[in-house]
Amino acid sequence: MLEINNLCSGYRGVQVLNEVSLNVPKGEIITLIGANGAGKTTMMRTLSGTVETMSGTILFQGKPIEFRPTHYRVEKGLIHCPEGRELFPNMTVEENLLLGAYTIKTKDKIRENFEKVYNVFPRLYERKSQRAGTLSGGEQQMCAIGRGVMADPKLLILDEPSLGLSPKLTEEMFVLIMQINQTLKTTILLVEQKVADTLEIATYGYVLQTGRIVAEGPAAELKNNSIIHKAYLGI
Amino acid sequence: MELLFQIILNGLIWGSIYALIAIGLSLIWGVMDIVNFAHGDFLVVGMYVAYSVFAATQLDPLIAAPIAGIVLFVVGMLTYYLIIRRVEGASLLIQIVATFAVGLFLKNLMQFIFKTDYLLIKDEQQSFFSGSVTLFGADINSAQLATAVISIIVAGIFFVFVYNTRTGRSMLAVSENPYAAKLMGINITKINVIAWGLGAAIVGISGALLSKFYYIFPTAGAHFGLLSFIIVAMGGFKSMWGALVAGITVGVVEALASFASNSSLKVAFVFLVYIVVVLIRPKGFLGK
Ligand SMILES: Nc1ncnc2c1ncn2[C@@H]1O[C@H](COP(=O)(O)OP(=O)(O)OP(=O)(O)O)[C@@H](O)[C@H]1O
Ligand SMILES: [Mg+2]
Repeated sequence: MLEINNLCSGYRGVQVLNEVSLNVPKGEIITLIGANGAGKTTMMRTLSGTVETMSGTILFQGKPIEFRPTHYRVEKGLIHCPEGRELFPNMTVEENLLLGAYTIKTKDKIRENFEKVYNVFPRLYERKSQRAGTLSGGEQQMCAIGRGVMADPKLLILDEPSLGLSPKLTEEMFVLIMQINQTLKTTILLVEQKVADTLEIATYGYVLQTGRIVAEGPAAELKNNSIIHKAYLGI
Repeated sequence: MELLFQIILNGLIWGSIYALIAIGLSLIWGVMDIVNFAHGDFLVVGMYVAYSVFAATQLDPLIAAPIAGIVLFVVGMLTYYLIIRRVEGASLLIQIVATFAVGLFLKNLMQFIFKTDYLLIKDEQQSFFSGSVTLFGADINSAQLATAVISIIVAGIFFVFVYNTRTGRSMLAVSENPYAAKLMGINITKINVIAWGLGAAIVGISGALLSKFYYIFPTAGAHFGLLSFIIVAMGGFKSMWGALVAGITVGVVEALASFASNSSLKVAFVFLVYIVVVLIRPKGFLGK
């Protein structure tokens, strides 16, 4: 689905990612974990094209996309739910979701996607006429993910969906993410700092440290990896 | 009582054209976060388009208004494409200077073509909305009444477009959160081009309407440009409804002020009301 080779990128004058390679096979949940400032968000922005690629390649469904604009990548089904939700606060939940379906051309398909989203997040249906800015943190996160699902993602990139959620809500969120993966058959690239929970639902994981991949492996193995133990699980 | 009604009605008429001018400014401001200091000059170009159409074909400015809209749509798009696109993300000062330069260029271009004479479109033979009508006992210049009604209709069409079409909604999205809008698959450059085109077209139409009863000269835009900044600030940045409400408010305040004191003091009263509004509601009527 997504194949990243030797990717370098960053901001004006500062390189953040250094020769990162990563692979997301179709149908799976792949996770990228790393501490604050490791470059996870930068990586996701580079994938969606809101940060420019300096060198390296990004193959999406076999085709290079690293020099394509963001709207092209979205049309192809690469959907990035950004860190911090980034909703349209003065618009209603429904209007937010509708904007998520911006690249979907037919009314029937949009209606179908609304149903999908409301099935996974019944809470959003109850709140559909409420302004997104007035939702609770958990509801806002649901709205952000729902907005991503509205675009018929082939690959859904979730950047810290648990940010600001209580442990209980985080667990619920992970269940919902798994549900999207299984019932909607959406491939997911999940960025997280809640490592233990994440490794429960992911199939394979990568560890990013100051812009480099320092460990990778099947989720079950990473749970026992000593780097991860020391750095993230605090055991 | 009847006099008061007459004054307020007059204010409403001026207010609706102010509102239309300000909506054009508010659109560009909202979508791009750039203050267009060429706004008043766009208006003047619209006036000269109406004048030229009239000089060439004797067609009334009210009929020339769509032509002015189209010309200014192109001017707006070119302004974005040739100039503004290059200063996106630059500092506020650089952006202000860039739009100011566009305005200066247009002002001088108009002066070069039409000289500095005060021009007036005198439509004696055709008498298309000339004379006056009596409305509930108030005497109203029918040309002004017609422009006010057309202004409101144009504003209405514009609002329907913004809130009910895919392109309109994506303009609102870019205005609220450009980063998220990009992630929705919206081509921001395309939306910016359309916003500049539409914003300029609206003020171009306003200029054509205004030329029905207002003198045309290269610097006529200064006053209206200034007023529209106040209106947008008073209505609330990024709120086009706010611009509508504030535009009409400013028209009425002006009319009342020039009656109560002296017509040359009316702008001072507008500022006074602006200051009071911002003291009570720092974000304007409908600012978020
Ligand atoms: N817009 C920006 N301009 C310049 N530097 C930036 C920008 N955004 C992030 N950085 C820098 O890039 C580095 C990586 O940041 P990034 O946001 O990708 O980390 P992260 O792994 O997502 O961290 P977190 O877990 O806190 O979200 C940091 O050193 C940060 O200061
Ligand atoms: Mg981050």
